[in-house]
Amino acid sequence: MTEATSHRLRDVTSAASSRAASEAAPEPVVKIRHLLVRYGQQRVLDDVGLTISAGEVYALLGRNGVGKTSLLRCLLGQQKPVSGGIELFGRDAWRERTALMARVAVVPERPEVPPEVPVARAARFVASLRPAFDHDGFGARIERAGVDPRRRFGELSRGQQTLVGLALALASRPELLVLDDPTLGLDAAARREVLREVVEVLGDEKLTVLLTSHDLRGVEQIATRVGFLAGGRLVLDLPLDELKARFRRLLVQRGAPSALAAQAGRVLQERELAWARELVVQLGPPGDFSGGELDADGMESLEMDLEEIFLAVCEPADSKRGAEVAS
Amino acid sequence: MSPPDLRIDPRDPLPIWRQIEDRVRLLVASGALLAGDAVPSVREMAKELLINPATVAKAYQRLADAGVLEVRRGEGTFVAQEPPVLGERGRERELLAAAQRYAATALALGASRTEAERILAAAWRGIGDGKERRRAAE
Repeated sequence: MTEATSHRLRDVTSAASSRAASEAAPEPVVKIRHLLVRYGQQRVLDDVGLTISAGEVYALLGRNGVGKTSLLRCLLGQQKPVSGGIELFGRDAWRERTALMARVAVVPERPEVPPEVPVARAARFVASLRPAFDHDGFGARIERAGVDPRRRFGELSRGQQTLVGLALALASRPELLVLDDPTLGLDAAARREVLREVVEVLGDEKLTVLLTSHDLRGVEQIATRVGFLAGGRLVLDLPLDELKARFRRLLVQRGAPSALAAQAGRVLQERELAWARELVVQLGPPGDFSGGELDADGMESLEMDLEEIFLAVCEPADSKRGAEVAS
Repeated sequence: MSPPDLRIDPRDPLPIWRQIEDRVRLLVASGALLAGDAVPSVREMAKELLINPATVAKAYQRLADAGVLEVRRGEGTFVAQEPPVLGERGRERELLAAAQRYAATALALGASRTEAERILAAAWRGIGDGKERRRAAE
């Protein structure tokens, strides 16, 4: 293969890949620093910081009530944080919220279209607020969803409502698309349709996506970067590939000293099975460790999917343990 | 020719780019994809598998770096004219690792060695002979 073609493929990779983009682009799309949100005495978000670069698909994960919604509300200028700063496209998310929201589109868990409103009228309404509204794109998307634009929103199935919400958001040509668990409560077929519409726009132009979801399999299919919120803190924030490379389920002989496993990384979970001891470990940064060595020591080392990693990181009952996991 | 079967298994904990990479290598090794055959574009593959195009691009990049695929400007991505073959030691290492996994599964299921070998031979016929047939048909 020639030098030129090699470069071309590399361009494709880097255009969509987070890391290369973050090095090239001086201005991150989202920049959150020392975010503090408190309701009464309870600190819902405590010193949370995160950066999302252009082109990234960032999945913000955490158990219910962990502050994901509060974070999104602050980001969208719907709530003023107690302290800390949020910048969207380099501008203050609270002070400049009106101007900024023209560059952002949100798909909430339940789309906010009144049930008696026909789909076509909802589109005209959104188009009146968004001069760049893409009527053709909207029409194509709702057609794929099998939605007649004359139908009232309330007559549509849950899945169709979500697809209409997504079509309205995408037709606004946002630079940042926020998906707030849009597939919650949808059946597998409808989740698939939503995922298909999202994949369709990834790699298109300069779209950055921030999503929360309980569908971790779907997240794993599209996210480039994953953040875990636990105990009010962002306990992990890594590219998906690195995240998956950093967690392993180890099976060692029962009664064997766990020093061996501890050597490999931080032990997050440990339990005795009938025939082996199972440990979930978080490994150090790449280079610190090679999976080959672990295997050689009579341990079996298994890769983990996102759901297993989520449970290992976010499940500990006491939030302090979660907070210690920070990389 | 029907399009190559490039399914991924979302329950497989291996990273998706790695699954695509392994799958393409297997299709090339088994003769389901021959030198010069076109593979789906990054966007087609992403839509087909419902995954981020960046993930497909990463797998393709690794395969191109390894000399398995080549990109022809304006035409698409193809299986390279001479996809590389592993050296003898590398091949032995990969085979041993895969054989250990297979042997462990067979033992865990209570299969006898004869039975396991018979099934291996059957699987070999299923994949390996297809390669011979396609070569003969060329």
